Amino acid sequence: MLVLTRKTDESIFIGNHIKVTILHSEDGKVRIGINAPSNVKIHREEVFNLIREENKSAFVLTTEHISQLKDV
Amino acid sequence: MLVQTKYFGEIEVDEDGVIKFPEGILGLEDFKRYALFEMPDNKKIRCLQSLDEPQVVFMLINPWDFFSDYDIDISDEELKIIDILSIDQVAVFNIMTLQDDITQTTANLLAPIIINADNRKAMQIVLYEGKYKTKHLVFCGKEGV
Repeated sequence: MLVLTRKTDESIFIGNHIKVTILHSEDGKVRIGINAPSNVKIHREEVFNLIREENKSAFVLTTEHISQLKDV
Repeated sequence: MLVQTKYFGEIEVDEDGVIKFPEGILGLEDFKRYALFEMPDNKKIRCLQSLDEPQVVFMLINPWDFFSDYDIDISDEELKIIDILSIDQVAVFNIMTLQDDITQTTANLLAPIIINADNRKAMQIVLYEGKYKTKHLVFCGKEGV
């Protein structure tokens, strides 16, 4: 992992088009501003983790589940 | 083609029923090819059977069969990833997580499956956080069956 130190209001570029700016930091929390093209999706990591976990539990099925689905 | 399914034995799926996920499904990125077919005993439910791993099968709904006001906003740029240029090409499904008490079964409305109906490429899209979550009750809401 590349590790950089930045002060408030300083930025980094990721590629030519994505700019990440440190807006504020206090008590272990950092407020970050991101400028990126609209085709770049930006999500909190937790959202991806939540969906991964949901997908993994979604295919754990039983024949009992399947037979119940006939009647819904 | 004849597809070996986990729950329904061998099922004939035509070439249109073979769906390619170039990036896989989140958490299951290794599996790229799935067969999509209607559940034999309930036409409102579709099965997404991995062709790479027989143990992986998802049960899907058309969201508007159960959540008539489901409203999603996907950018053109994102749709272009699977070559979608027009709304007519879009098919939307949501993955259900089944529970032993079937009334507690949920659908993931936060991350729908989007299929290009023309070229059969698909992806799981993560909507921006807002009104939808990974768990919405399917069978005991005021809408639906």
